[in-house]
Amino acid sequence: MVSALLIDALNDPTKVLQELYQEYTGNIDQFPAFVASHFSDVFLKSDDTLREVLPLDVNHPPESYAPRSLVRFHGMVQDTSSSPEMYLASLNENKCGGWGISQNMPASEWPSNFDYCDLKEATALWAVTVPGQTTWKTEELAARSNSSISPCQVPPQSHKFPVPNTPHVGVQVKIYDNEAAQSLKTTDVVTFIGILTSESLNSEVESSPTVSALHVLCHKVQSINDDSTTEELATARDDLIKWIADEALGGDEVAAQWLVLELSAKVYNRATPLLPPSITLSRFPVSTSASSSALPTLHHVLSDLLPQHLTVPLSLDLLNKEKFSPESKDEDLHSGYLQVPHGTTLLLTENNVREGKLVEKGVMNIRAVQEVMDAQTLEYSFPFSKFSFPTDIVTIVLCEGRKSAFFQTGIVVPLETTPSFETNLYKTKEQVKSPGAAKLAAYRSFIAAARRCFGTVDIAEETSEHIREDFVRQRQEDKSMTAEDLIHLMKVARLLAASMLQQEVTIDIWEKSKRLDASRRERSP
Amino acid sequence: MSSPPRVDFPTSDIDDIEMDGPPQDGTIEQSLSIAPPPQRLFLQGTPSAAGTPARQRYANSAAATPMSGVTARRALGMSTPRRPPRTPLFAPGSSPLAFPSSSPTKTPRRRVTIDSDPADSEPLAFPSSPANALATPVKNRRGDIHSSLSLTPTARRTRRGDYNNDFSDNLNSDGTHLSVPASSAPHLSAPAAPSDEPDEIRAIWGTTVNLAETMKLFRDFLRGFKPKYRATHDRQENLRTRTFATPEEGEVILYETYMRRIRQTGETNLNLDMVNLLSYPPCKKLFVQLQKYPQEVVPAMDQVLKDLMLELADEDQQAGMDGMQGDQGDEEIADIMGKVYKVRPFGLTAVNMRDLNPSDTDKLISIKGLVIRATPVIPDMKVAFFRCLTCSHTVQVEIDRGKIEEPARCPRDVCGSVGTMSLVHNRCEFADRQVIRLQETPDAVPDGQTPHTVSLSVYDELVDVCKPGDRVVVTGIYRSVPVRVNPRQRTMKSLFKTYLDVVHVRLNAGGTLGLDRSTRPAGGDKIPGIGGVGDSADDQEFEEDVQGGRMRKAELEAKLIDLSRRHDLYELLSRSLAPSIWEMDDVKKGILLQLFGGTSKNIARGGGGGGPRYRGDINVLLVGDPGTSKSQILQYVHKIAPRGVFASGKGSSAVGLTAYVTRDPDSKQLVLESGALVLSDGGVCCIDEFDKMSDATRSVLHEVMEQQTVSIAKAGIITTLNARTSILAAANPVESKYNVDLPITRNIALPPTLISRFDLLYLVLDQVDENLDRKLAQHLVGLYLEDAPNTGGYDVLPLDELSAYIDYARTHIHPVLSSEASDELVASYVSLRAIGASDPRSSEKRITATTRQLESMIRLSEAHARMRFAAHVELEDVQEACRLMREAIRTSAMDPRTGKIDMGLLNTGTGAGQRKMRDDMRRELLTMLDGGAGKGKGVRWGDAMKRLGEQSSIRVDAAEFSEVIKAMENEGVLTVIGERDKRMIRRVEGA
Repeated sequence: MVSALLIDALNDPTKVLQELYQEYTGNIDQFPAFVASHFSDVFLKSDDTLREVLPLDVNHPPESYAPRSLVRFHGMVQDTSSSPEMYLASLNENKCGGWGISQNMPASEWPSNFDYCDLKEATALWAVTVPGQTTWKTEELAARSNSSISPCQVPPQSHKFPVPNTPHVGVQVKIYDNEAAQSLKTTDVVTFIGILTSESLNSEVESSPTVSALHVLCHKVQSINDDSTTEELATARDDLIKWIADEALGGDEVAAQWLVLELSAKVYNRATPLLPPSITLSRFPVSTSASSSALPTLHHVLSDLLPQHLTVPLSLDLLNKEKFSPESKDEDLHSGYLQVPHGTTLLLTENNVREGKLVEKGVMNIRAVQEVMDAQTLEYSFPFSKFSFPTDIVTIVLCEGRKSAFFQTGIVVPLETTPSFETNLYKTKEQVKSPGAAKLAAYRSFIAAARRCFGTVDIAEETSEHIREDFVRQRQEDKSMTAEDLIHLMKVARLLAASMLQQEVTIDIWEKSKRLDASRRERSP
Repeated sequence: MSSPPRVDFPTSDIDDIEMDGPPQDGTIEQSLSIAPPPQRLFLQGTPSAAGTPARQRYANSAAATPMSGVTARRALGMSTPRRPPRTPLFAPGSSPLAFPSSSPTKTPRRRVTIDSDPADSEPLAFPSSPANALATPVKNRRGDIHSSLSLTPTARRTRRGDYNNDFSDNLNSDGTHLSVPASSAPHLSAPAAPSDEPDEIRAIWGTTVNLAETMKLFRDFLRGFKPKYRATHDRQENLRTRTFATPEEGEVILYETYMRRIRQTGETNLNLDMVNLLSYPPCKKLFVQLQKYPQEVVPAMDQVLKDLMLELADEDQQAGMDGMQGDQGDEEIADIMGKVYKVRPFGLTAVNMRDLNPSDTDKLISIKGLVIRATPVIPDMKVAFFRCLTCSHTVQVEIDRGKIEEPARCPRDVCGSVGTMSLVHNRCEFADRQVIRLQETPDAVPDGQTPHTVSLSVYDELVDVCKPGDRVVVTGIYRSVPVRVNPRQRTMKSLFKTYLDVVHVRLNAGGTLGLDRSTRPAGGDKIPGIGGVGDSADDQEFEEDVQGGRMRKAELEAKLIDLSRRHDLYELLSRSLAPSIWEMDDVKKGILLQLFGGTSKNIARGGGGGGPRYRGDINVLLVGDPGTSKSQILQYVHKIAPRGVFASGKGSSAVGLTAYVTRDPDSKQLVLESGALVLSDGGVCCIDEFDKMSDATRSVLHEVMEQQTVSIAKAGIITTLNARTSILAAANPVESKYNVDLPITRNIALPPTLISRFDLLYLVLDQVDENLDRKLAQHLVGLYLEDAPNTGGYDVLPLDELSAYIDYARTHIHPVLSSEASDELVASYVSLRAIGASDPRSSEKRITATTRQLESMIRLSEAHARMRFAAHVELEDVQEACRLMREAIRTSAMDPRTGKIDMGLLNTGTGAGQRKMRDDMRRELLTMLDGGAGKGKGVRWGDAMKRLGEQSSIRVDAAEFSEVIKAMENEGVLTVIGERDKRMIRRVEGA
């Protein structure tokens, strides 16, 4: 079903805009909203129409498009602090002036006089490729064969992308429908459809760099509630654990189970600090191969399973030099590793850490990560004030020692590899045995389902009574049992229920999680 | 500029209420105008004044027009082209602000005529340039208002008219007319200029707003506004009103009082609360006009203000008011003549800077924010002075919309050369300007968004009023200016930058706690102007009511005072401090008093002038086991405290906690950026993980906590910054868990000198209790597994109310010690000291309290009195302070070996028990040396230790032993000879 409207819009969005403007009779202030609703109707109604629009991503960088072409951009809002932009909404002869039309007009074509009443405001944001978006997700979103791949270079303003020195797309997004733009927050993942141009970043400052600008016609914030059926997923859990254990964790199914628990976690209630625990896989051997910087197989496995996953190979150099939390310098918000969308999984490997000095910046970085683990908040530094932003990041730490050198995680699981699988800890991507597309799809939706489930897990009065009694009894038996332990166990119970796609923590699950935790403790030396 | 007859007054379109005496006035005026100007001229001024530019200008104009000299001067000044030819962008009519009368085509021509007038003196002489009229000191040019209006004929004429009348009256010694200041009114409407601009009704372009009427309205307002109107208005708005002490109080003509004060203090600014306009019934529409057309209305108001200043001065002179008699009065009037008066409106409801949109352009708006950067003072060109390189003809061009339009060609017809006009820098006029970046305050930022910033331009008196880190409410005119793509190019881009031209700044509003005002220099922070920021006590009160939250504030105030009368106030406040934290009542109370703070005593207040300042800040240290919610308490305090700064000892370097020097990206100048301690000047600095702080950083704290300053010597800048801050620190014990067997100094690895600077030191220990466990489990299960958490749901104050309460107390209450309180303080101090002394078992006196503790007690009792909103420190305050001190001392300064409180432990690091042991050791050692084997030769170090060990029931500590030896050596009782193992201890003979 390809409508005429769609084709028109695809071919010459500017012309469609002008036509809309001329036909439009309502209040000029409402025109941007009208445009947004018009194009939303055309494009955002279904995935099919959305896919008709050319994607702007790492494989299709802005340079590969002609000016003023219509593109869609699936990106993360990085910075909302730039001042709104004023533009001339109406040009001579009743022409539309927004969406980059008046802004990029050569001075010679300028209207000789204009009315200040025609000045309107557009919200300006900075958006980047979703950091840590895995390849399969990118391809799924692009939904077209990569016939014309023109790999993207690191664009200007790369300090605004969380992961340094990584190819990505960064665009200045201009949203004319201000009311809708108000609701966009940093780290929101949004699909923008708009007209791509190239403009100087900051009109108020001379010699500001030229960047890509996207004049948004309509946009949609990504919602996480893509429903998928849960029936066949029940069996997926055991298969998934087995696959992870065999492929990436040296055959250690207990560790794999904890990992799956961890992957089911998300923030569901901030009022009481019931936050996803972080996990350390300790005793994780260093790569024996020559290249010490080799990524563990777990990285590839997680990349295949998760939509957004970021591996940060920690080293002193990286900790001392790179930014983890965003900081505003000269009113420009510089990004950091931790500025990632909700639901991102962060894999921190400590195996490259050598002896050396951690300078102040490194200490601050570690604190920032710890803050994310403990409170799921990330502090953005602004002059004279710091703002805490909520995050939802699942952190997994791999370390060689008994516990992580830097971080205190909620769960520490020492890895116990089976000799026959020992070599699989470090493999290249090609060596990972894929379970097949269908299976992989099932795993992906299983993890998504478990995360959804985690938010809705309930607890019966009877069970909570049981837990209370259990705690008092245990504390009398063993003085070392503290409130922290109780909180930890309760978190585990919730996670376990979620990963079994159960709606309720039962006494059975409580006992099971106690056993699971006890077996983990036994491993700890 | 030939002389058409004067238009007569009766055509006045304004009904002047005070039009009673005009005929005579009119005639006088007219006859004066007809009279040969020169005489008038010299009659009026000092004869020698002819040489001054003003006089000369006067002469010129007089020659050119038959108008009365003074009037002419005025007329000339105003008729000079205000606006240079417009750029295409601002072509006439395109701007809603364009003023029809200042038709650009007309004015330049006019200038040319004057210039080329042969009657004019030699064209080379600068003073003769008519444009010089612009430079008169009386000219009202404001950087914040880019208006053509201030100089429009009517406006100027009005003022002149008034003045002229008065003057002529004086000159003629014709007292009869003097009583009719309003006789000027006819002039208001009279197009006195032999006008080539025949517009009679001066309306704001594109509207029906009649300027003359506006001016009259404002005049009435200044003459008629009484506080009672405000009270009525507020009552209508359902706001709490202040009751007037006497009916007369409501009948004061407020602004006349202000104007007199302006005259007396030599101020030039009048802060005008716009709500007063709204509450004065005849002026309601003035409020709207001011808000919509500030560029026209504000200069008109300035004009009226000056007129009235003169009028009032004259009236007062007539009335023979004190200081206004005879010559003195003349001087005053002359002084007023030479001044530029500015009306600074404020009192609009502050909007969020996100809500500013293009429709607000050129309107008066008010926003709140946090100053994040301020440039150094920038000389801002107000009037550019150009000289033609060919004929040396000079032209002055005024700034228009932030730009100076360079004349493309010489305006002189004879010359007319293109591109010969060059700028003469030292003849240009500059004003102070400062660009400030204002960032949204954290509370105004929508959830999940990053804060926006906006640029402010402040001018003249407002420069340097606010500093980075201040929270301010500014009132200003919102501007959008087209952006030039390349500054070297003239082409514009259709992009606009926006900024605010500030007309009024109010400091630190909207913050949580106001900063401690005593930390700011007296008057240094004062925003210039009279009214609004009232300086006399009664005014302050009235204005407080009037300002900001207006009556809402008064309402809040009443609420707070009600609150202060609650009998359980202390408990209520302390449990509201951190409602989610269970128990720890004394800790909370101590911190609560810290938030209130004692009064800072400054010798300067007593007339010493900049003497030392005794700190009123209370410092608190929390030491305790991990996981005892110390950090949570700190977070709470950080949220409530004024200028609260939260730092973690672990993460902060010395730089982070102090101040550092960087280069400002805008101006490329070195600027000093203050770190946490300086930033929290006048507030509370919360430092977590105090023990993990590096020694270098901690050493900075020594200075901060005693001298309350931070010294910096970096990058060529050597300075001392004020850091008058209370410190709330949290630390973990050395072995992370508190070891009860060790004294506190051993548990916290902090130098005793630093510890003793804390007024209160609390140990927060984890206690084990079965009953508590059950409660805890219940609480936790509820918290973590069910979705209905109950966090201290009983009667607590919301955080903002608590904050407001503390704020109010800190700003308004300055308790002084009553005599019985000081007696009690003395008694408590003596008894605290006596605790150690009275113990019969101890052979020596233990120091239990030092003068530092006495000072702490004073501060705490002051804080407690402040909390009660009491003007005097009473007995109960002192008792509570002593109780808190005792509680804190009991837990922190307890010597584990004796179980006794011992402040010596904190001050010297050694406890009494330890000192007793050392004394014993010393005695034994002397016995050993004096008698027995070692006599004369001395004893070997090792032997001595061994023998002491044999005698003693407890092991002799090597470190203790060497301390004792060292002490004795210092006393000169014995000497140590040799190195290491061969050391001999020898008695000094005769000692």
